[in-house]
Amino acid sequence: MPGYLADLRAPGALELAFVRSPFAHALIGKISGPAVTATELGVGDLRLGGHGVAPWPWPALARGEARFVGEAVAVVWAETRAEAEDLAESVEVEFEPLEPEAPRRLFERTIDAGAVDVCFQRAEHVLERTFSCARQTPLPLETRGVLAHFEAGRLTLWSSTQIPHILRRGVAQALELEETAIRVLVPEVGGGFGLKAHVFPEELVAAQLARRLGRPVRWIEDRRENLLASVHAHDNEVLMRAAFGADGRVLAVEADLRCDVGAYSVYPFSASLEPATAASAIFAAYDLQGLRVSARAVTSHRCPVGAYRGVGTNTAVYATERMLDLIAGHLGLDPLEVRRRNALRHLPCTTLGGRELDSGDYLELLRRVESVSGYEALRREQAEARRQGKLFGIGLALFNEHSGTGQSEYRSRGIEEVSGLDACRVRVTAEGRIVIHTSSVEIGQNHAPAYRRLTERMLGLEPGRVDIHEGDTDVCPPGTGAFVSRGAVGVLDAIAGALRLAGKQDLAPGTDVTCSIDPKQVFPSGAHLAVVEVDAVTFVPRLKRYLAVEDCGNVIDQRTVSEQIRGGVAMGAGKVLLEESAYGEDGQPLAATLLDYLVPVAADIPRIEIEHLVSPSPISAQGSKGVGEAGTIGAFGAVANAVADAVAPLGAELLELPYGPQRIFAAIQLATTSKQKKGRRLGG
Amino acid sequence: MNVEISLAVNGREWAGEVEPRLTLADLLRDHLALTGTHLGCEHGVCGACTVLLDGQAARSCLTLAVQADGRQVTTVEGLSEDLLPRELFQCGFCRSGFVCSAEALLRREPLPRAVELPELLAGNICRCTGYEPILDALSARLPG
Amino acid sequence: MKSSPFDYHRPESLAEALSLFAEWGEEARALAGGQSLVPMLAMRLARPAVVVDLARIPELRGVARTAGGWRIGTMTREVELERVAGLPPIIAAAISHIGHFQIRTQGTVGGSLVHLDPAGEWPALSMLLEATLELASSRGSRRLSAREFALAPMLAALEPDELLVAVELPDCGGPFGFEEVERRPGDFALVGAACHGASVVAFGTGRVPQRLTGCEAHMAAGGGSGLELRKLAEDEMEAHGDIHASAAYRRQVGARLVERVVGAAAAA
Repeated sequence: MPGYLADLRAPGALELAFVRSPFAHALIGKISGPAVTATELGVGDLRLGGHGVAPWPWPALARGEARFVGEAVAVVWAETRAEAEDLAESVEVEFEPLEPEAPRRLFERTIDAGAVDVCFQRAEHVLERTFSCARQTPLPLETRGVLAHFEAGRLTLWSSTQIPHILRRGVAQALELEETAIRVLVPEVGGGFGLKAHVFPEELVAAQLARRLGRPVRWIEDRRENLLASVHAHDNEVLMRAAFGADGRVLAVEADLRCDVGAYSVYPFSASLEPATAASAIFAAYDLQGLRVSARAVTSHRCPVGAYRGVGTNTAVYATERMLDLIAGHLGLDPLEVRRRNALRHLPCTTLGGRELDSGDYLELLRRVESVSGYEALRREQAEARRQGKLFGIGLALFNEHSGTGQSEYRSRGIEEVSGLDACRVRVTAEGRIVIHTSSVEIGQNHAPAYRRLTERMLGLEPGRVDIHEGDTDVCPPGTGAFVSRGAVGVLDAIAGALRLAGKQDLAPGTDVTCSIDPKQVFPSGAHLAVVEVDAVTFVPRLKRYLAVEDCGNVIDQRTVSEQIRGGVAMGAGKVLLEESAYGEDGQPLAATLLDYLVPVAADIPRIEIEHLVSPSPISAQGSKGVGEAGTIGAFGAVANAVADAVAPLGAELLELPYGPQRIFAAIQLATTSKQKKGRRLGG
Repeated sequence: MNVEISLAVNGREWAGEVEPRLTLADLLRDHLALTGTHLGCEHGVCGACTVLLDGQAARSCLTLAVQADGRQVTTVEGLSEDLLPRELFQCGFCRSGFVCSAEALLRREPLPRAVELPELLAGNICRCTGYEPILDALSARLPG
Repeated sequence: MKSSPFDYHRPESLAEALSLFAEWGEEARALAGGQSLVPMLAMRLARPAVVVDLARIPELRGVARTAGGWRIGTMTREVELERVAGLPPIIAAAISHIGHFQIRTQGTVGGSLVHLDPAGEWPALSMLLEATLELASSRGSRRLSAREFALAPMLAALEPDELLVAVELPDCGGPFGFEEVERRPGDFALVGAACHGASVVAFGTGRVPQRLTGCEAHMAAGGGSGLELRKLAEDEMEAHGDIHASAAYRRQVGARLVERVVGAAAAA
């Protein structure tokens, strides 16, 4: 591989810079200066929204109105990026600021299953809370980037992307080109975490300008653009009601989710991304008699919302797990015991939310967490720490997540642009080398060794004969790309299928076979435990210990699984403790640098203990399940509960992420003032 | 008005004219084709662009090329592949900065103690690994 | 994120530098270590026509023991200062909070003083220890107290043609307290406090580092650390809110830090 996108040699390439809106909502008047505007660019919209999703596409350049701070309004180019920025600065745009528009509802998913009303009537207890997740952004260390070259009627597009084939389709559509006239190539990718699983306006602009100007065109996003105008995520609020008995058994849950999806609907996932994934993940690891969920996507004048590791499942698990701890606190029960009493016991099963859980042993996950963590001793340690005045918290989470989403799920959300298929092509060269091409891409998962080993094992080959080649739409079979933890599900199935086909041809030189799979979702699960200490003076929370008991079915590559869990937990801990794409009331972003958008550093993350439980999936060919997002999702419950548990003795209740020192301080203040008020009332 | 500078990069002399606004990072990447040094934020926080300047770790995005005139620069390309090997990382984008920071720590007298490592390395962001493999590999190289 | 263009000068003497500032005035910016100026250039928040690099001016370098204390040249890098034998521990403690080691290799004392970040360690230290700042221009030189120097956030009392040459600190050995609340190691402090002798300062709270005169009077009258001191600190502390912390947080937590640093200075 020739390095990361910005490392590619591109002699003669023009560098782009964008003129971006400083207003959250404004009419765009006259644009003067050396810039190309939407009308001059002539790029069509990325068509979005089949059945059920209102189309609200993100234009390549703003047309008539700008709808969030950072939206690209015009584009300039020069020989260097610095000169392009000089030009961009010289462009004058007449903006007329507008009042914010009323939110538009773009998508809604509802679930109404079981005897919800009866349960609420009968329940001894009902608890209602509103949980908020923070607006966040994936922040891969490598920003976005694209290098476009149009030559002899063909567009070559290098992009730092997780979705080469979907990108090809989107660009073809917007530029009115045949897909075969476009070749997408993916260099080394410096992290994606979902952010690079979209087709972006800048990619369309670069492609169109390359076609117009007849020269290579390059755009390397800077960090400020990345923080303001790539995608954000998780901006969700959950109003949750739980009906439960004195024994801590939860009978039914109602949840109302409001998902702020920002100014536009992203391609290819549309505005359905957060609400659709969150809805079915509410209480998904627990046995309920009734579930009613309404999850809506609504617009705002903020950066569009897209995918970020864990997507809506984070929100659902966060709300679910916080609610279970509040229930435990309400009844004076141990949080682990409450989970044990509510965990699903008989798998496979279909949840009220519609998840077809393929395998797993949730009670065993909890048992393992209990024994490996030394749970009883840990609680004693906590009691001792509390006697010494320390704010010491223990948090748990039990969860499952979907991995390897296939065609039917995307169709049910009205998404035509994601095929949901995973594919593998196996070629045998004249020299007898086996070349594996998949529809996935390498973004840091390091899947090549696992693919290589699987190939060697299935075909009985000696090591050193297998090459893996991904990220080139000219040679790789069309498919969905690398997201929703699909590598260990559909992609592996496709590889196995293609290898079988190749085996049937005795690996004769010239063999060239392709296998395409429509994966069915499989559900990895986990039980996590976190220990947090909150400084009693400064309220800064520190993660002291973390245990992840993970069940991703058969483990294809131990090291990769551990790496994914560990990195995922660190990212999840950051989302709970630090990350926030804050906005002011006026729609101005307040986190435009890495001094304001905080991500975890080495001192924030303890050694992550990882335990494996194996419940092979009866559905995926290898019995494996995806593992890319589990760490993050578990941390949303475990770390949040640990912080909340640390300050619970002070009467403080934490509901709004991230749980930084300010929120902790404010919650303690609120608890203290309301206690004082109560005291006064009683005294008077 | 361009400025003539000369500097030694990984032991090799380089001389040429640069725009004063050019950063050392952009000089290395765009003029010397040393693309191992990565730019992650261009405002000194992420640490990906860390290099050694006269033997000390420095952000090449916070250093103008003209400031490096007459000085010694060492980049990831000039350091051993074995110091924090590629396999420790996932996407690998942060590696160049970690390698240079690690080299600077190893050259320090007295050597930092392993317990301090997480705090010492707080100036380098990795989004993939959770840091453990990097910290383990580096502490294994520190005595005691 | 690339700087707008500027012309570059690298004078070899103080006189040469001062004549450049006399010529260019507000259109010129002094480049010390670059750790604050270069990111501001990159974000185009600073757009000077001329950048004057102070790196080769011998008069601006060096740390000297003087009759009454220390004289630190404006271009002294934090890493150099860390290695000065006999450096008062309060200075070492303050420096250890400045950014990361990769920043301290380049960052300078003068750069930090002139940048005047409300949470900066050098402005806080200069206020606490009643430092004297030596300024020079082609018109002559003058000396300002730290209090006179720190006008507002990011705004020092420097005339457009003036340069900070050195900072003079009094002898400042002996017991002290220095504490910061950082969300992550190396971050700018949400709030900080320091105590040395009869002085107490809070920083990261208001517009510039604030001497807590009420607390100082309390101590002068024989009062110690404790609830009363905390209350005094809370009452007199100016505090602002931002995305990381509210004014109430800064005031209350800042007051606890004051209690701690005063306790530490008394106990040691």
